[in-house]
Amino acid sequence: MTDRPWRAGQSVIAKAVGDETILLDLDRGIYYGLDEVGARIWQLITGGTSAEAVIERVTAEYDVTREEAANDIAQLLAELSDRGLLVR
Amino acid sequence: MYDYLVYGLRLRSGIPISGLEPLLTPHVEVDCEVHTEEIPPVGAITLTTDSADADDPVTIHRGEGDPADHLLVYRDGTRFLLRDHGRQIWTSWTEESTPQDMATYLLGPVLAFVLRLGGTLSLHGSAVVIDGFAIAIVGPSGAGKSTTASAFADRGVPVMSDDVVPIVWRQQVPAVFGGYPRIRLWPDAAEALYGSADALPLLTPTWQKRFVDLRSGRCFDPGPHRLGGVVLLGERTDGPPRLEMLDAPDAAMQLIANTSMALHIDREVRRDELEQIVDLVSVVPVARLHASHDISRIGEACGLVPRLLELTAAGTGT
Repeated sequence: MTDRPWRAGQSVIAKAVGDETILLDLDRGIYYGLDEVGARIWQLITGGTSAEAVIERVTAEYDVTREEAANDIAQLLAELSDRGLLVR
Repeated sequence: MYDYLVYGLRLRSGIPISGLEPLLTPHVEVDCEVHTEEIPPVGAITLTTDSADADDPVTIHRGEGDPADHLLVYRDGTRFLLRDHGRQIWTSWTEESTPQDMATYLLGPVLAFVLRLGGTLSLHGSAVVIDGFAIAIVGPSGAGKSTTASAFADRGVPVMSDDVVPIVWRQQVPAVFGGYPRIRLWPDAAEALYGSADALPLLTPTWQKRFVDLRSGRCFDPGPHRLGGVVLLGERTDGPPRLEMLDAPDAAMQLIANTSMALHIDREVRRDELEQIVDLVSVVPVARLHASHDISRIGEACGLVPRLLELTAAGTGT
């Protein structure tokens, strides 16, 4: 079974500022900051890139092992999903 | 009728508003009318706020129409109904309060809210004029915004606003409109700056806050002026004051946290303000100022602020 792609929650706005990204949950009026790597993951995952492919890209672009990238990305996706910022 | 200009808003009121200077020539058009007749009924959803800040209303009744009515109710019973994006304002106050109390709310959080309902970004802070540029001094309640503005005033620097800094974009350049010629100070700040709280008059008979009158020997500048920088007041330091530049993402998050009446605006305004703030930090430098615990060193802190303008002159934002 293939997971459906992630997308930004319906009430979520993402705004790039420098290398980072600010997420605004319009329904709750809460703002979140994503650092450079988080912003890159957001950009890839909401652009339709699969989680597996995001791990590959992050491993290639940053100084991390594949295992570290996989753990960090899984944790970030879970946090964003828990807050309704990412949905599928 | 009394006509005023405050925060760039053309205001008309049926009663004089304490702290504002009436215009000699009436407005042809007005942005905002203040009524003291009975407040019309509001079919409303009630939002209870849990803010400890006396400037924040206890409850907001939000109507279901579009644009929605907003009825703001304060702890002392003072009320404001804002209709049609705040173009029409009704106000009432209880027997324990005074018209000066009403004016304190009106000229602070209420007009800040009106500005935001109309799409104008409004920072919670003071503004001074250095080399023809407006410098906004922002921070949470108690951070020392008004104290810093007073220190600038005492050094001959014109002050534009205390508490509310409206930012209007003109041909992609952010400009600040001035407020009114008063700086409001808590008694301890008045004592620290002027030796005694009694050195300054009371803002209202029912409240302990004092005010610096910018008409008497100090300079009020209503602007507008191009925004040259934003100073965020940070933690005070035991050492000498210092100024540290913020990068754009940090600056944007800090400005979001220092908008006025942030709890109470709707989604479209939030969306638009995020756009404005991100644009702002790309063209205006933002720095965090750590003033000294030692109030006698506030002049040194003021002396650091013009450094921001070196970046503005170079055409670089944060």
